[in-house]
Amino acid sequence: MTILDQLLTASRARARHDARIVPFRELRHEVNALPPARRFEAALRYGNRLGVIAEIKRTSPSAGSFAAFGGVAQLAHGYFEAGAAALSILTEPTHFGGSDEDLRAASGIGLPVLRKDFTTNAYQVFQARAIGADAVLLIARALPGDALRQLLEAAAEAGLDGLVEVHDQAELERALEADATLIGVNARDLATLETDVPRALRLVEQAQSSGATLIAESGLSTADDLARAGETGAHGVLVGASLLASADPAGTARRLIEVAPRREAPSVPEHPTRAMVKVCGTRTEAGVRAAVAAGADFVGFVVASERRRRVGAERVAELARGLNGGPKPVLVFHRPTRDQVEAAITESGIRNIQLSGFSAPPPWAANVDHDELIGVLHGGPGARETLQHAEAWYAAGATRILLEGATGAEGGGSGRTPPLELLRRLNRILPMGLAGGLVPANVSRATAIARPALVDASGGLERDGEPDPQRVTAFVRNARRDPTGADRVDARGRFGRFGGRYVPETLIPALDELTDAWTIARRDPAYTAELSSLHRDFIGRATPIFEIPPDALAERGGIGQRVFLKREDLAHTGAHKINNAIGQTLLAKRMGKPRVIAETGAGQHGVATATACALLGLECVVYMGTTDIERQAPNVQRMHLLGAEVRPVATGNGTLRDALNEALRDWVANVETTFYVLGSAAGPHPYPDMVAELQSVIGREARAQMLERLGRLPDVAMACVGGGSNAIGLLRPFLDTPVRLIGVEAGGRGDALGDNAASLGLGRPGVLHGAFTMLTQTADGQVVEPHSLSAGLDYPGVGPQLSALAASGRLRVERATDDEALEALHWLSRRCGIVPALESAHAVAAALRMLPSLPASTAVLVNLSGRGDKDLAIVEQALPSAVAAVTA
Amino acid sequence: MSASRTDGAARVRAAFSSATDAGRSAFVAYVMAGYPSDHVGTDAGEAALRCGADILEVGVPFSDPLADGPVIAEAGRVALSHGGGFDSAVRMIASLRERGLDQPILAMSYLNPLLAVGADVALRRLAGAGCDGLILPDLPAGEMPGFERSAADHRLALTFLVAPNTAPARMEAAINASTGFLYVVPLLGVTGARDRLADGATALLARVHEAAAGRLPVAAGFGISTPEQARALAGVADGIVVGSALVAATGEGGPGAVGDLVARLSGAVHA
Repeated sequence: MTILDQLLTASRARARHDARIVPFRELRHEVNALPPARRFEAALRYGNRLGVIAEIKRTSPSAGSFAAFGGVAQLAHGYFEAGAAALSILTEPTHFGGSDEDLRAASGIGLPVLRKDFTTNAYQVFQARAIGADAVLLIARALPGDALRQLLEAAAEAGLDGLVEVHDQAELERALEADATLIGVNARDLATLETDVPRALRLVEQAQSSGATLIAESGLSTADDLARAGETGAHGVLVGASLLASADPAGTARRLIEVAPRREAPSVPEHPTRAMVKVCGTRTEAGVRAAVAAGADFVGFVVASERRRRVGAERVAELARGLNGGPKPVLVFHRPTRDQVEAAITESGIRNIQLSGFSAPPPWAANVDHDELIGVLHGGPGARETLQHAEAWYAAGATRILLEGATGAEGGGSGRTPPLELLRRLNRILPMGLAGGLVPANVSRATAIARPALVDASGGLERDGEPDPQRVTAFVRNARRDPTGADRVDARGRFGRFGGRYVPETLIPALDELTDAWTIARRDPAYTAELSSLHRDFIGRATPIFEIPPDALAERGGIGQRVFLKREDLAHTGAHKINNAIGQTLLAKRMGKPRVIAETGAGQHGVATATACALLGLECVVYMGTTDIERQAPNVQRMHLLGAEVRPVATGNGTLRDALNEALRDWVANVETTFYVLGSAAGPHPYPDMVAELQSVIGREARAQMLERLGRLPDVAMACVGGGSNAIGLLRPFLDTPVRLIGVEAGGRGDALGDNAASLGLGRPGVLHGAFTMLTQTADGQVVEPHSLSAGLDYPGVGPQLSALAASGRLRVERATDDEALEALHWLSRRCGIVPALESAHAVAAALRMLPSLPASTAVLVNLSGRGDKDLAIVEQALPSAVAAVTA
Repeated sequence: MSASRTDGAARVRAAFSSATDAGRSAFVAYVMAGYPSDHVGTDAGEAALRCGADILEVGVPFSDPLADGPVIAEAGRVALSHGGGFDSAVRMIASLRERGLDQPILAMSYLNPLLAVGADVALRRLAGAGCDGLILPDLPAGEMPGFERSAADHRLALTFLVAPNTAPARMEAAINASTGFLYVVPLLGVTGARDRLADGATALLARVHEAAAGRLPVAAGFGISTPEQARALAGVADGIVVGSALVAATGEGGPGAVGDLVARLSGAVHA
């Protein structure tokens, strides 16, 4: 048995063992919920010099054991500093001393990571992704027959790049036949362990014309070696033993990387941070309005051809005025002449064009004066050819590319979907969009498989030959489904990997009962009608949108940007908390629970719950930490006046989290008679989803109000985040739009553990108060008391949906310090006559801070979640020094 | 993987069956690791095992013990204040084994300290220290299937809890997922001494016994603090768990007091 055979046998045994602990189905589910992996192949293919993949292994059969290096994470960081293009981590345990832990350690560095192991089946491919790899090594010799192609497909499905390792001519041909785009030629024969570098470089040279991304592996250690590899057309080299055998591997890597030859790489644009949506074939004002309201990124108008869905350039200009600076208009052409394109641009004044029907970009495309140029290409025959077509379009000035399933002769709009798995693979290498055959019903699934940079539909949006606004709305919404599941709760109460029900068994029946009652109530017209009449008559909804005067913003560096405040401070009881409290107490009453308990931090949720209970005639007990009782005295008095019992909680630090623990203990003991009104979109399922839904009235109103005010959606929506109920309430209705979503956490006194409440930005995932979510905690899993001057933000956890949205990249997370929040509170009070809650002032502070960096046409929506009366004592004491600190 | 180790679940069940064979209930003692200090906590565990406990539960201190009443919550806070946590619990189990104590030892922990270390790493370390299993008050059966399988892989017993309001389907899930014993909480509420046993405790235990149908031992815990209470339930439970009362005894009288109380409590269930 050769060493390779031994390694493969051991590898299969490991996979069998691991699959007993985490079955493939669960592993796949876990991997699908992960955000995109880093781009390994792209880092090599588009680097401006020969890329060095620096390897970490502890021992090897050919070189023996390597001198101890200072830990994988440390060495990986050293390689990163040395300029490595990527990392390769040996995880094979029996002959290389590796482990999955080594890869996890290297995965946090920021470089793309290759899992180098003796992968034999799809399970291990998905496992590679689960432990943090971005690419997986597939050894051609170890994967006979169709296995190689199957594992390449598995890698694409897992969102990984597959590096196919070959050693000789026959294996190279197999790799090319299997449609590999990334091929490594190993100079070492895995059966004999002998190395023949010249032979390997001859193979690289031979493969150059295939269009594959080529890596030379093994035996390369000098500047001359790298120069020769560069000359053969290699994009990268994999270097391991020669680095690890040196006394200073990172230093050796740096000296080698410094002499790596420069190369001319094709220029391709950055991947967009999220998938763009284009609605094509628009011909009517109603179609334009639907695209604007739905939040499309591009609206295409078909011109200058004999095709259906066509409009003249003048009419296009008229229709495009209805976009109001929201979606970008695009002139869509099928096999036009240069004159036709230029005439249409001149007549319409629209400088974004889309060209289809060409097998290669027309030579004049680069010379037409345009902004966006969307090139439509038709795939095939294989991955490498399609990749080269796409690179040719980008070289000709394309800003985006759509891959369509039609043939060139048929041109665009043929209704054929390209192979989705191929698109997924290619879109990891360069940005590539999806077009053809998409309709509202299939677009979620298609984007979940293909994860494209852009999605386009036209024919699929028509009804009886006319674009249908309802179908446009549904298409845009479905196209933006988050493939990680962050935008919706699943049957097990999870948003992606966050959420769940980690509570004592005693509470499970209560949570089941609550889930059932809520599921029925939210669809019951009697409940929703009562809720909306209380919204209107008791809370005072809809709350208005107020625009900060431009001259005030000018003081903060504004040059035309607009900032709108959603005035939840004007809701009854002075904050958004009442939206949730009313909804839940109505539900309590429906369920026949006579007693209501709640926890409160700043006191706003306690007051809101006491208020709702007073209205509905329910007994109300509010748990509140002793520290909070002291700093929020007026709210304690209000709760007493409203007839609620306030139970002081002296355990821990006497803050929100202690109050929550105590409320949960009360609920465990009194679960049969008691309804627990949880105040944030946190805790065990169904609370995070239920509270978010009850608070979403904020975002639904704001979306409609902004559309009416601006004729389009805002560019940015932001809110402060403690537990996150006002944030998820504002942001959830914008999840299916291109609006940038920002959560602002309490930065407190600084970034050290315990000085802030930045669980999303600085925390780690864990379980607290019934949910798996981001927490401020120590390395050994003890939850750390957070700090914020604002009592409503100093919670050590955060709602699980916000954790999932931050992990998927949909939510950007910022911080504002105590001082910044105080200064913003002061400024808004003085300049606009609005005294915001300290919590809300964090969002205002972040908005003001980012204002000068935003384009002048930007519209920012900020949730002003509450009013500041409750904070007067704190503000009076802390304000002078804060204003001095921020303005200094 | 720890293939050479004896199976924790088998050891736990054996402890119950030898008690049953002797015509008594098993006595399960709980002490908090690191309370009031690492050394005294370990001595308290040793005292419990030498004075009649058939099984020892070692509490892992956690910052937010939402299933615990004031006594255990405070003990956890004290343990944390001098650096206690998952590590100190592992050390305590290892040193009890070094002292030659061979009875089953279970870690009672909230999930987060285990997840912070990494569930698999945490389980491997517990098994390596000589731990036989775990009780996780905030992990309902079926919520984290990977954790259950990983525990089995490390040959660690898992014990899930059922309460008076647990529905038949959930009870079945807890019975199926438990590999050591089934933990019956006879009251709605957190840990800690009560003046008297919960109404219906006996009926609940009878119902659980019927559901378990001999598939695994059934022990009662939460709210049992006196020999009288222990004796009252001993007839209907395969085991009796006492926690808060022993933690209080550790704080007030040290290991000696724990030994005395364990002797009285275990005597009551042995009777």
